[in-house]
Amino acid sequence: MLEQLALIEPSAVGENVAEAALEHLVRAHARLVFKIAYSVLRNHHDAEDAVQEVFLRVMRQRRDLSAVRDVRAWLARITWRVAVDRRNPPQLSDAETTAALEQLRSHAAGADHAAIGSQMLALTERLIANLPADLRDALTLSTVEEMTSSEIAAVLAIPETSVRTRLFRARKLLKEKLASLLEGKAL
Amino acid sequence: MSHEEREKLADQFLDAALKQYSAAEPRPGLETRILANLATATPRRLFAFPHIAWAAVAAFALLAITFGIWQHRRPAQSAHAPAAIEPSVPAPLPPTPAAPIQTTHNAAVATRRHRVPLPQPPVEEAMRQEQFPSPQPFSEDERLLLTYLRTTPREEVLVVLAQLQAEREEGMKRFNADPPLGH
Repeated sequence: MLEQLALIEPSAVGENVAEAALEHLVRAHARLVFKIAYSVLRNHHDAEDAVQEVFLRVMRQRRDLSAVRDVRAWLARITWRVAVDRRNPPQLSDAETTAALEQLRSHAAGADHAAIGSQMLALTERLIANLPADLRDALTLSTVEEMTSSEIAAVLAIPETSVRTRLFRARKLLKEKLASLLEGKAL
Repeated sequence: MSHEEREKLADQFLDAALKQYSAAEPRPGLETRILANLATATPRRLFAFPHIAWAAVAAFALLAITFGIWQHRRPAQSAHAPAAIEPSVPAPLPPTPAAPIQTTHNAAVATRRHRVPLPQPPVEEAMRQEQFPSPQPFSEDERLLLTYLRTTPREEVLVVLAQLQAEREEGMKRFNADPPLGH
């Protein structure tokens, strides 16, 4: 199908083939593209906008598709670039993070499990956002279930071993912060 | 809570939180919305088939050439009937030394612009030749004269011409000498 998309002729037949191939790409990979975008942008609306932009770029670059070997990795890389370009990195201060931890501790004391879940997720987002960029990127992509280590490595253009190392370090940092929370210490 | 228990709890929490981190699903109909957006973003071609576009260009060029030839021939046709046109159309300006060639063209253009109903030119004017004097077939007298000149020796012709000249001079003298009639 990709070969058909690449061999687009300026005729009605070629356009039909291109449209069919593009539709195939959308139906096969839209969900993955959305999840990657969402993992970065943390917002449904922004993520969907990013997905639209990704497939618009694919449509414009359709003549180069014959050189694409791994469509999934190629799409993931485009999505990552689009999403990162659109991301507004949250600059959380230590005071804000500490306040979030205190809020979570108060909910935990009241045994409000639903509130605890949402608060923990919000806290995790903040903690991940405050990670160093290289660790944060690897961890963010690893949260997308469909992404393998090799695909993450392809997206970030780093060796697969580096991906594993960064994931390990990121988890270790997060765990230390969470342990401090459970222990009742301020960060 | 011991240190190991806290570590284990933090690990469990982190696994759960990271699993939930990207668990969001797109709203239903994402693919449809993407395809609709792509359809609106795709530039539609004016002609889906290139040979139709080329045929249209060729037809337009042919039409333009035909129109140009027709326009080029029209002034020449109007110049064939100047006698009939002149009374109803203002006379063109006399040619100026600066643009002697354009005057004819301007007259033709002026003729074209004044589209008054023109009377049909007479047949003899329509048949008038552009060359002057008009080449006409010889008359009977001219043909006899030519035959005489070809067959008669040159000396005899000169003698006849001298006689004719003398007769003409004598006739002129008589005309001048005779008093006018009625006096």
